[in-house]
Amino acid sequence: MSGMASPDLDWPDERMVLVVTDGAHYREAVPRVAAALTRRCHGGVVIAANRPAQMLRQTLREHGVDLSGVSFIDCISSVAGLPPTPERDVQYIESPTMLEKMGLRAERALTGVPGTKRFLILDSLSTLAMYNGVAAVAEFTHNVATRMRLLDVEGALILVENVAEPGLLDAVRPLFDRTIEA
Amino acid sequence: MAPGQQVTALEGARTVLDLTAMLMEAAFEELGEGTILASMPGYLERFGEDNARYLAKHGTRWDPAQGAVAALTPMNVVSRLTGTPFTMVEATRRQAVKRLHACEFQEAFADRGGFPRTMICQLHGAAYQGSVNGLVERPEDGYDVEVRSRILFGDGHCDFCVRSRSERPDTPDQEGESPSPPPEEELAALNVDFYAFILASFVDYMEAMLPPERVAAHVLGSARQAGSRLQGRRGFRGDAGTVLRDVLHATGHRFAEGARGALVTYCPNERGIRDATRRSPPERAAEARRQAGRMCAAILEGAIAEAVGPVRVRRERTEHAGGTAWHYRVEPEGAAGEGER
Repeated sequence: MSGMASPDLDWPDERMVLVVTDGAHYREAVPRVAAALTRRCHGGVVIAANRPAQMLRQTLREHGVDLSGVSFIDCISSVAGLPPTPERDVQYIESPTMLEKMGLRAERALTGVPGTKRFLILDSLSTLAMYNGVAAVAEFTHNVATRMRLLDVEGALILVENVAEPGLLDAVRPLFDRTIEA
Repeated sequence: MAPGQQVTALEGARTVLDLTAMLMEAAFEELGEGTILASMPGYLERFGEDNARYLAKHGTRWDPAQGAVAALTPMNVVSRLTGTPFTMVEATRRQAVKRLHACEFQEAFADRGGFPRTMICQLHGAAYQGSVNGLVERPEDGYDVEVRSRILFGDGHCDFCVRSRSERPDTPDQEGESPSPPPEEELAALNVDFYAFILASFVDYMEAMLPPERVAAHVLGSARQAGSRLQGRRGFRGDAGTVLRDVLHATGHRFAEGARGALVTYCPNERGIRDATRRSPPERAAEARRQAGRMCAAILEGAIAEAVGPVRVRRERTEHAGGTAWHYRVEPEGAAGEGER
């Protein structure tokens, strides 16, 4: 896998994109989305709710994604009881249930991204729904989408279909400008 | 126990645990740690509940309403079955602290990353949580389990604290009654069977989360690797048929010689696999059992390949006087043959 170039994803021009994938393609989907957005933008923020930031960052590097200008918000390491390792590009949140804190941290991190073209990737809505339920995640998605549009940030929120809570896809799909499969 | 039997129990358990650790890592990679942390503990709690009910049905007696130590009875039975030494550091009706002085997962997980080690500790805690509440009638009368120290993270012991949710007195409590320990040979078989239960539960969980072909790919790859490692430890020598029989023997199977291969008349994992999948929807349970059969064949393939080169192991269900048996046959890789994989 090391050094492998990410397969290209035809990225749409819309601002808020829901990326739907399944368990068989999930591993490849996140690097493909990150590769597409890092090519389009100057930098951005990745909310890591399904994979610890360290591992996600390593996977992205192995796929040749340029991570200069990218920072991570890790919501999962603390749940596992792993002590956070101090790193300049990673912020830790105690739990994926802290949705409000997650949103605030993401917004603050985006203000530190150099350049005008910025992105937000969330991996993944399905994981957040396991911890918070569909209704809370739909509300959170609505807030994120509104804020990202106001801040002129491109958003890609990932949903893994076969592990998603029933009803999640239907609840969040209308909140996006476009849905793509990866 | 005769020395040969000890090796048999050890290799069977070790191979199954090895395989569990590998599959767990594959699942992390595929599903993500967040998904597994959110969904797997609940699954293992159900496993703990099932285990408690199973033991209650087979002669272990305890009243979970009595107190925290009594509620630990089924997990103490398991610790004795798996030969894991423990002491009760605190033993009141309100709260009990059980201290394990060895970690049964140490060998398979010690060299793994932080997440797999964390996960196995959390899952162990979840199995305790399910077990102490397995016979509790109302959730508010149940118990909460906290894992307070972890050998896999450098602590000298693993402490499981069981705390009563309702007001129970701070007076001494005691464990329930369990039947006399079975003979050593049966104990060894039960030990392997228990780990097979964990492995099959994990495969069943993967079946619930991933397409069957992805599960099959992970199962086959990991099982072959577990077979290679088994061969690395034991260094079986001889032709493919000899290695087949040696591996089956080393992993606790009993068998008769077949015309072309080996006829397994007792599989140490069979009950664990059946019990672990009993509560799943029938189609998924059937698939998880098929995966278990494939794993068994792939472990053999991995071990034999290390000794003599690539082979395919096929299994055919046969009937014999005592019930169902499996006929194992080794073929050169690429041979078109019949029989289940």
